[in-house]
Parts: sequence; C-alpha cells; structure tokens
Amino acid sequence: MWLNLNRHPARRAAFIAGARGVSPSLPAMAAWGLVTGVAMMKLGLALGPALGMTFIVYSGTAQLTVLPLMAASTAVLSLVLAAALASLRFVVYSAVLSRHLSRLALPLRLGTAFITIDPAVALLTQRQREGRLVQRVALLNGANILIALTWCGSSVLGIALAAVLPMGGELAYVGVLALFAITVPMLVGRPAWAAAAASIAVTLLGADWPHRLGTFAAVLAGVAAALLASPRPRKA
Amino acid sequence: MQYSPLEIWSLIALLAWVTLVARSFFLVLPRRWQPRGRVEQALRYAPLAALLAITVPEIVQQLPAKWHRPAPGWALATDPRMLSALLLAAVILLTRHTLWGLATGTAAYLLLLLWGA
Repeated sequence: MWLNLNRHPARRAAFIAGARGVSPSLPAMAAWGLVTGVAMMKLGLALGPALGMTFIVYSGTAQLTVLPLMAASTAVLSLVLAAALASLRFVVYSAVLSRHLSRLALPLRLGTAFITIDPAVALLTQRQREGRLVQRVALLNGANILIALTWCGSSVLGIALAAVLPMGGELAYVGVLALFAITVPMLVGRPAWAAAAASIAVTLLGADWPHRLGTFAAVLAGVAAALLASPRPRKA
Repeated sequence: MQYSPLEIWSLIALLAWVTLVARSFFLVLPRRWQPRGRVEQALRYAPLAALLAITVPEIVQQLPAKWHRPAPGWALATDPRMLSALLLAAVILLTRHTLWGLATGTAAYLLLLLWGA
C-alpha cells in the first residue's frame, strides 16, 4: 500500500516531496474551494447536497459548470453532459498519468486517478522533466492528499460562511491570479513557450465556444505545439 | 432551482461518475493505446496549456469593452486584472518565487480596485 510509509524510506521521502512540491498551489486551491463553497449555497443548494458535491464529486470544474445551469432548472442529463464536456481536459491528464500508474492494481489506479487534479499533474510533469522519477505514485499521493485537504476544507468553510461572505467576482479573480502564479514558473524552454503561445491563441479564439470546449481545444493545441517545437530524435 | 432530493443525489452520483471516467480514461485502455515516445513527451506540457487556457480568458475578459471607450489607452494601461497579472508574471520570472509573485499580484489588484472605485 502506498500509505505504508514507515517501512519505505524512499517512498516516504517522495510522499513528503510531493506535499512540498504542490505547496505553492495551495492558495489557488483554497481560493477556488471557498468560491465554490459559497457559490453552491448562494445558488440555493441544501447543506447535504453541497457537502455531497464537495466530497463525492470532487471537481471544481464539474461543480462550477453545473451551478449556473441549475439556477435555470436545467434537466439533470443536460447538466451531466455539460459537466462531461467541461471535464475533457482530465482525459488528457489521464493520458499523462497512464505511463506512471499502469502497473497499479485497478482499484488503486482508479482511486489515484480520481483524486489527481491539475497541480499534482503539473508537479509530476515538472519532476519528470528534471530526471528519472523514483516512487512517483507516492509523490503523486503526497501532493494529492494536501490538495484534497485544502480544497475540501476551504469548500466547507465557504459553505459555512456563505451567509456572511460578500460574493463578488474579486475573490474569484484572486483565485485566477493564484492559478496563474503556479503556471508562470512552468514557462521554461522552447516547447513550453510554444505550448503557451498555441494554448493562449486557441483559448482566446474559442472563448465563446459552449461547454468550455475552447479550453479543451487549447490543451490539444498546446500539446501539438510542444510536439512540433521539441527536438526530433536523430535517426540512427 | 427546482430539483427533488432524488434528482439532486442522482446528479451528484452522475457527476462523480463522469469525473471518474474523465480522470481515468486512458488508464483503463489497453496498454498499447497509451501514448508513448514523442507524444508522451509533449503531453508533459498539457498542465501548462490547460492552466493558461483557464486563466488567460479571465485576465483579458474585460479588455474589449474598454477598447471602445473614449480614451482606451489609459483604461487599458490601468486595468486591474491585466496589470496585476503582468506584475505577477514579471516578479515570478525575475525572482523565481511563486508566492512573492502572488503577493505582489494580489496586492496590486486590490489597490487598483480601490483606486478605481
């Protein structure tokens, strides 16, 4: 088990490195958790379903996609479809994870993939670029646990304080700044800048596309640009 | 909002299922369909592309409206969202400290909001 840390010093070190590595992203997780918690209550969800969304759905993307539609009493299946389209970037993340998790038993593989969100995937790819990854599942889960605690804790705080918190767009924008702050350090090297340029161009082009399909197209464009900009392997 | 408890809890179950399917999609495919080689290398830039695709539209969202105002230059140059994001990026690229950049950007954003109000 990956939680059996005491008997595996290397695994334990990787777990701690994962937790440390994602610490710069915790302000972003806290801001978004708070925003999501408040938004659920302001839109009229009862306490039980709001906590259910926080702990069972565990996806800010899905939650923030369905909330405005729920205010308009959209049919449940349309809500699910909208959330599925908005979640397409996670399909790309699962491709990133596939190599690292493919040897795990199925329940552990699904469990780890389910709780792995943006900052943890970003940390894994950054570490991967710096060299060979040792104990990467422990690294990932050290990151995941800290993120989950922060996200769920701040969501619950938002749910509890929804009545007294003023809910303008300002807090949400601080959340955007916090996400942007963990993005900027990833801009190292030619493929990274190519991916950034392509992603920004496509996301602005697709800003009005429905169901956040512009975001998904931008991810694909970014990966394609990185592929074109990375050095070709020499033919032997 | 008019949903019965049954509808709400089925929605929660379905959203969790959709999230699980999306986040584990390639992990349940046969191993030969999983990306390898140069595509796998390029996929390392997916989080960068995704985070930019989420944040950049929020940063520049209000700029087109300001462009159509009488004196667009000043309004664009002092736009709280744009200016705070640029400051944040500059501090991080110069100092390599994420949290200093975030502190600078957030402070600039709040001050510009107060100043504009």
